[in-house]
Amino acid sequence: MVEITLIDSIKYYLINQAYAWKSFFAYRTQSLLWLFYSAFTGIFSFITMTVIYNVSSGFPGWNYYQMLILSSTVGMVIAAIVYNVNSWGIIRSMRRGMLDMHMVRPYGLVTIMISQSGAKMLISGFASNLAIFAYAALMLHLSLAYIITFLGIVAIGTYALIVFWLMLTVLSYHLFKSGTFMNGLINTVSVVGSYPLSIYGTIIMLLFSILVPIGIAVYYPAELIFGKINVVFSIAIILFSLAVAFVSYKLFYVLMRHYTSGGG
Amino acid sequence: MKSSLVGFPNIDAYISMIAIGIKDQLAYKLDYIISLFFKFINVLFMILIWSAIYLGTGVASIRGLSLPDIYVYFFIIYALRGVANMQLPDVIEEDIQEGSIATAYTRPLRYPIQVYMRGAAEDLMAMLLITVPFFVIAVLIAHVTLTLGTVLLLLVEILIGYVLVNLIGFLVGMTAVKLINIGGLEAVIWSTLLLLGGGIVPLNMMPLVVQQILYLSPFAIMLYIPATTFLGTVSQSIIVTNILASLAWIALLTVVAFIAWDRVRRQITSAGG
Repeated sequence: MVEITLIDSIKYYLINQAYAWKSFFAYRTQSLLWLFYSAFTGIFSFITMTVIYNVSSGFPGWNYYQMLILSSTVGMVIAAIVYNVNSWGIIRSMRRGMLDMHMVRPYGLVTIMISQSGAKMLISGFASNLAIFAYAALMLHLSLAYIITFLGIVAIGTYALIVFWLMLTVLSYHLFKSGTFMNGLINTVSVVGSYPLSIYGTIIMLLFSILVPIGIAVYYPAELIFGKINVVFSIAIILFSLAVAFVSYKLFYVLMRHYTSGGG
Repeated sequence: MKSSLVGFPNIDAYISMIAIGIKDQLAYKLDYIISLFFKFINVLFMILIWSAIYLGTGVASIRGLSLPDIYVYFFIIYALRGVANMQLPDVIEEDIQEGSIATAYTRPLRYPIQVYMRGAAEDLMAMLLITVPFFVIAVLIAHVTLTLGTVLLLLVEILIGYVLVNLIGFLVGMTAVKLINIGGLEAVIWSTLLLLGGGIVPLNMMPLVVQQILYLSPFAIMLYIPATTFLGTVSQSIIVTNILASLAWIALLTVVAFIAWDRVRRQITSAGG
């Protein structure tokens, strides 16, 4: 039996990325429009926040630049998730049996599914949100150490969310055989996560911290760098992120054990 | 490609297309229910977000809109999103990609009208399951008694918005003949429509110069103007200006659509056939 190392898995992922990018640019005009649209989502959220702070004091305890950090980070996290896990595409592949031939390859199922799906146009959404993030960080005079700490915690949370999203996608396939639920959910998470979770009240705050944990990747790390929570709480958040990743990973394999290809 | 034509009033055939479209919609009931659920949820989140803004600012109204007005505003906006649906690009793109445009051309019906009728099925469903319930909720929470004049004005505005969104949709859909895959273009247009139509932030909260430009654009009548007409927070001069501008847009886009279709239809090739 072939021994697959982490390096092999990374190579497999990268080769698939190269292929996916070539496919993406097959329709050049379209790919440019998609990239433009994706970049537009960051600008869209920037305009919304600017208008809100232009006519009001905004959200209690959050100034304009802090809100730009929050909304742009959500934009980056969502872009990272959908870049790797395109639920709509995965569910369609499962329904049509298009994933089956890849599953016989000697890589982990998570590696295979992340390599095979993903919406490439999200790269420009990530870039536009990163630019807004850099602008806001500059205006807030955040030190490099703060930014690195913040992005480190965000990265751990994003990793957890990617595995969680993959698990939820498979669950959605089992329950609905359609990507509509996941599409609706990602839009809702994107809107909800762009604002402080505290404004929604305790129940919704807990829902988006535990059940659909966008909070671990964005809201709580932002609260930490703005001094709203202490270091102990942030360590708890990191541990919770790792727990989410672990549980999601295990659940993913349980669900995949019961996978039946729609393509016969 | 040349379409076989029968005089326009082949009403039965066109109505059958709507009926088939409705059956198609209802074939995936669970999908439809899920998408409805998220629409309701998203209105509630918009309300919570704006409640936090109002409470955080500590004012009774922002630019003439009180917090209860904002609740009603977003219910109306989501109601109108059921009308301002852009189905036509999807229908044309699918026809081009799957080659079913060849089949469509063999029918003794005009292709643009066929496309509209197939899109109209989804429009009808959205109006019934999204627009009507959201309007009812808005009426209930607004405690307003609409006069006949306001109702008629609203209907005129909604109708103009509907015509405009379909004209824009048809023009966008035509680009599929050249581009084949127009998902990106559709997404850009739809996001622009939402932002510039007041779907995310009421237009009166934008800078004054931007507002004045948007009142002359084809977007305001799709969402903002009907919503604020319902609330009674928009001046008559803005309504009149916007309606006149929108009628001018309809005239312009109709001419462009006719000319463009006349050129584009000669270049149609069937991918699947």
